[in-house]
Amino acid sequence: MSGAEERIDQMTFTLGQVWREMRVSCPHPDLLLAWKEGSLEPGASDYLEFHVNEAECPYCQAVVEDLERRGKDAAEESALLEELRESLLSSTRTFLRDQKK
Amino acid sequence: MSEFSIAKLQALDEGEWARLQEEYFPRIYFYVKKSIKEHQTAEDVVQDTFLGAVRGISNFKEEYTLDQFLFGIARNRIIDFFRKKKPIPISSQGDDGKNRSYLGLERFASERRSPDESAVAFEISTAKREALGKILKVFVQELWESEEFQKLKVLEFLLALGGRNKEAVAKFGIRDEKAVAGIKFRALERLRALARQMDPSHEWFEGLWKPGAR
Repeated sequence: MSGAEERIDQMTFTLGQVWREMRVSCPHPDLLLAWKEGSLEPGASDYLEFHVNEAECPYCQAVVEDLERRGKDAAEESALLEELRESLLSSTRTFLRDQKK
Repeated sequence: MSEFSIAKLQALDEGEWARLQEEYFPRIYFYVKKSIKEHQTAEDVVQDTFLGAVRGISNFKEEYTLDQFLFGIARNRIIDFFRKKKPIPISSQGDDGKNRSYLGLERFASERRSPDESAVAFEISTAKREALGKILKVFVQELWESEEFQKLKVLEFLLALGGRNKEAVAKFGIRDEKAVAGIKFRALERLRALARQMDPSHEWFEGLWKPGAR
Protein backbone atom coordinates (compact mmCIF):
# COMPACT_ATOMS: atom_id res chain seq x y z
CA MET A 1 0.00 0.00 0.00
CA SER A 2 1.41 3.41 -0.91
CA GLY A 3 1.88 6.12 1.72
CA ALA A 4 -1.09 8.09 0.36
CA GLU A 5 -3.28 4.98 0.33
CA GLU A 6 -2.26 4.17 3.89
CA ARG A 7 -3.11 7.72 5.02
CA ILE A 8 -6.54 7.50 3.37
CA ASP A 9 -7.04 4.11 5.00
CA GLN A 10 -6.15 5.48 8.44
CA MET A 11 -8.33 8.57 7.94
CA THR A 12 -11.36 6.56 6.86
CA PHE A 13 -10.84 4.21 9.82
CA THR A 14 -11.04 7.17 12.21
CA LEU A 15 -13.94 8.74 10.31
CA GLY A 16 -15.76 5.43 10.66
CA GLN A 17 -15.23 5.31 14.41
CA VAL A 18 -16.47 8.87 14.86
CA TRP A 19 -19.38 8.35 12.43
CA ARG A 20 -20.62 5.33 14.40
CA GLU A 21 -19.97 6.67 17.91
CA MET A 22 -21.53 10.07 17.29
CA ARG A 23 -24.40 8.62 15.23
CA VAL A 24 -23.69 11.08 12.47
CA SER A 25 -26.32 9.83 10.04
CA CYS A 26 -29.02 8.78 12.51
CA PRO A 27 -32.19 10.67 11.65
CA HIS A 28 -34.50 12.37 14.13
CA PRO A 29 -37.13 10.00 15.61
CA ASP A 30 -39.81 12.07 13.83
CA LEU A 31 -38.29 11.05 10.50
CA LEU A 32 -38.19 7.42 11.59
CA LEU A 33 -41.86 7.66 12.52
CA ALA A 34 -42.69 9.22 9.16
CA TRP A 35 -40.77 6.45 7.45
CA LYS A 36 -42.67 3.73 9.33
CA GLU A 37 -45.94 5.44 8.45
CA GLY A 38 -44.97 5.59 4.78
CA SER A 39 -45.15 9.36 4.55
CA LEU A 40 -41.54 10.06 3.58
CA GLU A 41 -40.48 10.82 0.02
CA PRO A 42 -39.03 7.85 -1.88
CA GLY A 43 -35.36 8.92 -1.74
CA ALA A 44 -35.36 9.56 1.99
CA SER A 45 -37.42 6.43 2.61
CA ASP A 46 -34.99 4.36 0.60
CA TYR A 47 -32.09 5.78 2.61
CA LEU A 48 -33.78 5.00 5.94
CA GLU A 49 -34.52 1.47 4.75
CA PHE A 50 -30.79 1.08 4.15
CA HIS A 51 -29.73 2.73 7.43
CA VAL A 52 -32.14 0.79 9.66
CA ASN A 53 -32.51 -2.58 7.97
CA GLU A 54 -29.36 -3.10 5.91
CA ALA A 55 -26.78 -1.16 7.92
CA GLU A 56 -28.69 -2.35 11.02
CA CYS A 57 -28.19 0.81 13.07
CA PRO A 58 -29.02 -0.54 16.56
CA TYR A 59 -29.94 2.90 17.91
CA CYS A 60 -32.46 3.59 15.16
CA GLN A 61 -33.80 0.05 15.36
CA ALA A 62 -34.35 0.56 19.09
CA VAL A 63 -36.12 3.87 18.43
CA VAL A 64 -38.35 2.23 15.82
CA GLU A 65 -39.24 -0.61 18.20
CA ASP A 66 -40.08 1.95 20.87
CA LEU A 67 -42.23 3.97 18.45
CA GLU A 68 -44.08 0.83 17.40
CA ARG A 69 -44.61 -0.09 21.04
CA ARG A 70 -46.07 3.35 21.81
CA GLY A 71 -48.43 3.07 18.89
CA LYS A 72 -50.04 0.01 20.40
CA ASP A 73 -52.75 -0.06 22.96
CA ALA A 74 -51.24 0.53 26.41
CA ALA A 75 -52.87 -2.67 27.61
CA GLU A 76 -50.73 -4.65 25.22
CA GLU A 77 -47.47 -3.38 26.67
CA SER A 78 -45.51 -6.38 27.66
CA ALA A 79 -45.34 -7.45 31.27
CA LEU A 80 -41.55 -7.59 30.93
CA LEU A 81 -41.32 -3.88 30.18
CA GLU A 82 -43.69 -3.06 32.99
CA GLU A 83 -41.56 -5.05 35.43
CA LEU A 84 -38.47 -3.32 34.13
CA ARG A 85 -40.08 0.09 34.54
CA GLU A 86 -40.89 -0.61 38.19
CA SER A 87 -37.50 -2.03 39.06
CA LEU A 88 -35.69 0.84 37.33
CA LEU A 89 -37.74 3.46 39.15
CA SER A 90 -37.00 1.82 42.46
CA SER A 91 -33.26 1.30 41.92
CA THR A 92 -32.68 4.76 40.48
CA ARG A 93 -34.66 6.45 43.27
CA THR A 94 -32.62 4.59 45.90
CA PHE A 95 -29.38 5.44 44.15
CA LEU A 96 -30.30 9.13 43.82
CA ARG A 97 -31.06 9.34 47.54
CA ASP A 98 -27.75 7.64 48.37
CA GLN A 99 -25.88 10.08 46.11
CA LYS A 100 -27.43 13.05 47.88
CA LYS A 101 -26.23 11.93 51.30
CA MET B 1 -40.00 14.06 22.34
CA SER B 2 -39.81 15.59 25.79
CA GLU B 3 -37.25 18.15 26.83
CA PHE B 4 -35.30 17.57 30.01
CA SER B 5 -33.61 19.99 32.34
CA ILE B 6 -29.90 19.17 32.62
CA ALA B 7 -29.74 21.40 35.70
CA LYS B 8 -32.45 19.34 37.42
CA LEU B 9 -30.81 16.10 36.42
CA GLN B 10 -27.49 17.31 37.79
CA ALA B 11 -29.27 18.33 40.98
CA LEU B 12 -30.42 14.67 41.17
CA ASP B 13 -34.07 15.68 41.05
CA GLU B 14 -36.05 12.44 41.40
CA GLY B 15 -38.97 13.65 39.33
CA GLU B 16 -36.79 14.64 36.40
CA TRP B 17 -34.87 11.36 36.51
CA ALA B 18 -38.15 9.44 36.62
CA ARG B 19 -39.33 11.35 33.53
CA LEU B 20 -36.07 10.72 31.71
CA GLN B 21 -36.16 7.06 32.52
CA GLU B 22 -39.78 6.77 31.40
CA GLU B 23 -38.88 8.28 28.05
CA TYR B 24 -35.71 6.32 27.40
CA PHE B 25 -35.83 2.98 29.16
CA PRO B 26 -37.69 1.09 26.40
CA ARG B 27 -35.34 2.37 23.73
CA ILE B 28 -32.27 1.51 25.80
CA TYR B 29 -33.72 -1.93 26.55
CA PHE B 30 -34.43 -2.67 22.86
CA TYR B 31 -30.91 -1.49 22.00
CA VAL B 32 -29.27 -3.66 24.65
CA LYS B 33 -31.36 -6.68 23.61
CA LYS B 34 -29.83 -6.56 20.14
CA SER B 35 -26.53 -7.64 21.66
CA ILE B 36 -27.62 -9.41 24.85
CA LYS B 37 -30.47 -11.81 24.23
CA GLU B 38 -31.06 -13.01 27.78
CA HIS B 39 -33.71 -10.80 29.35
CA GLN B 40 -32.42 -10.70 32.93
CA THR B 41 -28.91 -9.80 31.84
CA ALA B 42 -30.26 -7.15 29.46
CA GLU B 43 -32.33 -5.75 32.33
CA ASP B 44 -29.23 -5.57 34.54
CA VAL B 45 -27.34 -3.72 31.81
CA VAL B 46 -30.22 -1.24 31.40
CA GLN B 47 -30.28 -0.66 35.14
CA ASP B 48 -26.52 -0.20 35.19
CA THR B 49 -26.84 2.27 32.32
CA PHE B 50 -29.15 4.56 34.26
CA LEU B 51 -27.05 4.31 37.41
CA GLY B 52 -24.02 5.17 35.29
CA ALA B 53 -25.96 8.14 33.90
CA VAL B 54 -26.66 9.42 37.42
CA ARG B 55 -22.97 9.05 38.29
CA GLY B 56 -21.83 10.76 35.12
CA ILE B 57 -24.41 13.54 34.73
CA SER B 58 -22.23 16.09 36.48
CA ASN B 59 -19.77 15.73 33.56
CA PHE B 60 -22.44 16.00 30.88
CA LYS B 61 -21.33 18.12 27.92
CA GLU B 62 -23.97 20.32 26.33
CA GLU B 63 -22.71 19.69 22.80
CA TYR B 64 -23.96 16.13 23.13
CA THR B 65 -27.61 15.14 23.40
CA LEU B 66 -29.02 13.10 26.26
CA ASP B 67 -29.71 10.47 23.63
CA GLN B 68 -26.00 10.18 22.82
CA PHE B 69 -25.10 10.29 26.52
CA LEU B 70 -27.41 7.42 27.49
CA PHE B 71 -26.75 5.24 24.46
CA GLY B 72 -23.03 5.83 24.88
CA ILE B 73 -23.16 4.51 28.44
CA ALA B 74 -25.30 1.55 27.33
CA ARG B 75 -22.82 0.72 24.59
CA ASN B 76 -19.91 0.76 27.05
CA ARG B 77 -21.81 -1.47 29.46
CA ILE B 78 -22.41 -3.97 26.64
CA ILE B 79 -18.73 -3.92 25.76
CA ASP B 80 -17.83 -4.47 29.45
CA PHE B 81 -20.22 -7.42 29.59
CA PHE B 82 -18.64 -9.15 26.61
CA ARG B 83 -15.09 -8.45 27.75
CA LYS B 84 -15.78 -10.29 31.01
CA LYS B 85 -16.68 -13.37 29.03
CA LYS B 86 -14.03 -15.88 27.98
CA PRO B 87 -11.84 -14.32 25.26
CA ILE B 88 -12.41 -15.59 21.76
CA PRO B 89 -9.34 -16.03 19.51
CA ILE B 90 -8.89 -13.09 17.20
CA SER B 91 -9.38 -13.98 13.58
CA SER B 92 -9.37 -11.95 10.42
CA GLN B 93 -13.14 -12.14 10.59
CA GLY B 94 -13.48 -8.38 10.63
CA ASP B 95 -12.45 -8.18 7.02
CA ASP B 96 -14.61 -10.82 5.40
CA GLY B 97 -17.60 -8.56 4.85
CA LYS B 98 -19.79 -10.24 7.47
CA ASN B 99 -19.55 -7.24 9.80
CA ARG B 100 -20.74 -4.64 7.23
CA SER B 101 -23.39 -3.42 9.62
CA TYR B 102 -23.40 -1.30 12.78
CA LEU B 103 -24.51 -4.30 14.81
CA GLY B 104 -21.82 -6.53 13.34
CA LEU B 105 -19.11 -3.97 14.09
CA GLU B 106 -20.38 -3.44 17.63
CA ARG B 107 -20.37 -7.19 18.28
CA PHE B 108 -16.89 -7.47 16.80
CA ALA B 109 -15.66 -4.66 19.05
CA SER B 110 -17.41 -6.12 22.08
CA GLU B 111 -16.37 -9.72 21.72
CA ARG B 112 -12.80 -9.25 20.61
CA ARG B 113 -10.08 -6.73 20.99
CA SER B 114 -11.37 -3.50 19.51
CA PRO B 115 -9.99 -2.55 16.11
CA ASP B 116 -8.25 0.35 17.91
CA GLU B 117 -5.96 -2.05 19.69
CA SER B 118 -4.97 -4.11 16.73
CA ALA B 119 -4.89 -1.64 13.83
CA VAL B 120 -2.47 1.18 13.30
CA ALA B 121 -3.78 3.85 15.64
CA PHE B 122 -4.62 7.26 14.23
CA GLU B 123 -5.04 8.84 17.64
CA ILE B 124 -6.99 12.01 18.00
CA SER B 125 -7.92 13.91 21.10
CA THR B 126 -11.46 14.23 22.41
CA ALA B 127 -11.72 17.81 21.13
CA LYS B 128 -10.64 16.76 17.66
CA ARG B 129 -13.03 13.81 17.74
CA GLU B 130 -15.91 16.15 18.58
CA ALA B 131 -14.81 18.54 15.85
CA LEU B 132 -14.69 15.68 13.38
CA GLY B 133 -18.16 14.62 14.47
CA LYS B 134 -19.49 18.12 13.79
CA ILE B 135 -17.86 18.19 10.38
CA LEU B 136 -19.38 14.83 9.48
CA LYS B 137 -22.83 15.96 10.62
CA VAL B 138 -22.62 19.09 8.48
CA PHE B 139 -21.56 16.96 5.54
CA VAL B 140 -24.42 14.48 6.05
CA GLN B 141 -26.86 17.36 6.39
CA GLU B 142 -25.66 18.74 3.06
CA LEU B 143 -26.33 15.40 1.41
CA TRP B 144 -29.85 15.27 2.94
CA GLU B 145 -30.65 18.79 1.80
CA SER B 146 -29.48 18.09 -1.73
CA GLU B 147 -31.35 14.75 -1.60
CA GLU B 148 -28.20 12.84 -2.56
CA PHE B 149 -29.41 9.74 -0.75
CA GLN B 150 -27.66 7.24 -2.99
CA LYS B 151 -24.33 8.96 -2.34
CA LEU B 152 -25.11 9.01 1.38
CA LYS B 153 -25.76 5.28 1.37
CA VAL B 154 -22.52 4.58 -0.49
CA LEU B 155 -20.47 6.81 1.84
CA GLU B 156 -22.06 5.37 4.97
CA PHE B 157 -21.21 1.90 3.68
CA LEU B 158 -17.63 2.88 2.87
CA LEU B 159 -16.80 5.18 5.77
CA ALA B 160 -19.02 4.12 8.68
CA LEU B 161 -19.19 0.41 7.97
CA GLY B 162 -15.72 -0.14 6.52
CA GLY B 163 -17.08 -1.44 3.24
CA ARG B 164 -14.64 -2.16 0.43
CA ASN B 165 -14.85 -0.45 -2.94
CA LYS B 166 -15.40 -3.78 -4.66
CA GLU B 167 -18.31 -4.60 -2.34
CA ALA B 168 -19.85 -1.17 -3.02
CA VAL B 169 -19.78 -1.82 -6.79
CA ALA B 170 -21.89 -4.94 -6.37
CA LYS B 171 -24.12 -3.59 -3.62
CA PHE B 172 -25.07 -0.26 -5.16
CA GLY B 173 -24.78 -1.06 -8.89
CA ILE B 174 -21.91 1.39 -9.42
CA ARG B 175 -19.98 1.20 -12.68
CA ASP B 176 -16.63 0.10 -11.30
CA GLU B 177 -14.21 0.43 -8.36
CA LYS B 178 -12.66 3.56 -9.83
CA ALA B 179 -16.07 5.28 -9.68
CA VAL B 180 -16.44 4.24 -6.04
CA ALA B 181 -12.95 5.53 -5.24
CA GLY B 182 -13.96 8.80 -6.88
CA ILE B 183 -17.02 9.14 -4.63
CA LYS B 184 -14.86 8.53 -1.56
CA PHE B 185 -12.12 10.88 -2.74
CA ARG B 186 -14.55 13.77 -3.41
CA ALA B 187 -16.21 13.19 -0.04
CA LEU B 188 -12.86 13.39 1.76
CA GLU B 189 -12.04 16.58 -0.16
CA ARG B 190 -15.32 18.12 1.00
CA LEU B 191 -14.62 17.04 4.58
CA ARG B 192 -11.18 18.66 4.40
CA ALA B 193 -12.77 21.88 3.11
CA LEU B 194 -15.27 21.84 5.99
CA ALA B 195 -12.45 21.17 8.44
CA ARG B 196 -10.60 24.25 7.14
CA GLN B 197 -13.73 26.38 7.62
CA MET B 198 -14.21 25.12 11.17
CA ASP B 199 -10.56 25.28 12.16
CA PRO B 200 -9.50 28.89 11.50
CA SER B 201 -7.08 28.84 14.42
CA HIS B 202 -5.35 25.74 12.99
CA GLU B 203 -5.59 23.90 16.28
CA TRP B 204 -7.44 20.75 15.29
CA PHE B 205 -6.10 19.40 12.06
CA GLU B 206 -2.54 20.60 11.81
CA GLY B 207 -1.79 18.45 8.76
CA LEU B 208 -4.25 20.46 6.69
CA TRP B 209 -2.23 23.61 7.08
CA LYS B 210 1.21 22.28 6.22
CA PRO B 211 2.72 23.50 2.94
CA GLY B 212 1.60 21.26 0.13
CA ALA B 213 -1.43 19.96 2.02
CA ARG B 214 -4.55 19.72 -0.15
